[in-house]
Amino acid sequence: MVAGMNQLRTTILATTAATVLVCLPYSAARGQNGTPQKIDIANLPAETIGQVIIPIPQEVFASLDKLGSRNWRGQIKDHKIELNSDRSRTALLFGLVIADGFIAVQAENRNGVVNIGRDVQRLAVALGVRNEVDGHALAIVDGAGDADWKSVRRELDRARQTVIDTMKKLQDDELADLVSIGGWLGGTRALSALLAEDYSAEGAELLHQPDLVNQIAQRYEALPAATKPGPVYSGVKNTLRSLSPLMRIEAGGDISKESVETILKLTADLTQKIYGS
Amino acid sequence: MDPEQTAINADSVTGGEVLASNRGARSRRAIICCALIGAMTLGAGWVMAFVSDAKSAAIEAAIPQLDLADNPYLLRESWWHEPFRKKGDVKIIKHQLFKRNDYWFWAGLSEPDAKVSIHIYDGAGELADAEDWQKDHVAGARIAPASSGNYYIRVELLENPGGEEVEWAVIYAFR
Repeated sequence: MVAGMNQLRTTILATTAATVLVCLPYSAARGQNGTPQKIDIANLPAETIGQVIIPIPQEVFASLDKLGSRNWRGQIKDHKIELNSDRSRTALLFGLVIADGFIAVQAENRNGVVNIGRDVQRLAVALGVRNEVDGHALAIVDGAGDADWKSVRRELDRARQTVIDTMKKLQDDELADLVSIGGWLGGTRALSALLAEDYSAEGAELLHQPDLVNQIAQRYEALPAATKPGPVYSGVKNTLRSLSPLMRIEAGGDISKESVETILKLTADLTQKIYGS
Repeated sequence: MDPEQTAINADSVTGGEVLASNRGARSRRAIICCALIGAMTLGAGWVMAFVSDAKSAAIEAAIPQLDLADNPYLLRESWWHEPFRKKGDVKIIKHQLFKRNDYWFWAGLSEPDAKVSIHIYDGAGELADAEDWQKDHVAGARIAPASSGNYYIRVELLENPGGEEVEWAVIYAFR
């Protein structure tokens, strides 16, 4: 016990020393330069940045994996993509396919990732961004061949960001938003499916995304009506609104297994509608 | 070419130096950064169209801390940016973080003579940096979130001797 405490103390001292050494070249310590110890989030200044960066599925998957191994193989869905002239749907599909790519990487499924790389290529052609995305799609396929999962994850994010940047450059901001929303939807579906299969309150805490889901819903609702023709799009709006109260933890509470199952049903149904529409 | 090895080599070439004291140095830094990113992605056939000076500065500050050889952070492609107009300007970014991950955020400015700081606050508004540093026109802050949810990244223009508008950029990585 004493030896353990000594070891712990030694570790803490070593860590502290290392931290001090790392920080020595830098001038700022906490509290210097008038850094406030607390900010009033109820009265954030007007300088709050409106730009929302939606986490990629890998961010939440990385955290989930630290709780133990999961059945990622069971989350690989063999979606056959039938393209049509609806570019909004193509943008949503692009986001969903990127999310499926992250799932296939988690499962270390080479064939699955290769297929994702090919889907990325097809969707990029349909969105008119083939030249920009081709290199990333090829790198995804090559990375899968080499089982270089770090590289595949990086290229999935790059493919996603390249499409978003290109869409914005082409004044297609609404399609860029739909790519992000599709990616978030795919990641949330997979997360809730894994948690429904093997529930823990600790894992379900990852679904606590109270403002993110509202921000996504607001962005979606602000898109021009012409971008959202047909019943699938009213389904997106309704799903996002229904998810909002489910993805919020009140003080000291948990996201229950029932909530996880409802989140799974809502996201899986919407995903299916987008693929099948 | 292994992009991670490329990053390490490029960093050793620059000696991890993140400072530039004049516009020439700033341009060199931007060129090095563009070349670095270009080299990192050349195998993918991707050509970098544009990298802002502020983002270049942030990336250059990030590279030595990405732990590329051991347990690398994944640097996100997305970034925030806007102009600062005057000394003392503060920008707040609201962002979702996940428990058990470890995050680094880096801020960079387009003006090497200016000075920036970056800090992270939790959902209650309490300062939550696990560590932080500041060096002239670049700064970094790390957080290991205690819970999943909203966090607030506060970026401040501490000094701006030139007095002109300065672009800032914030990038982040996780593992």
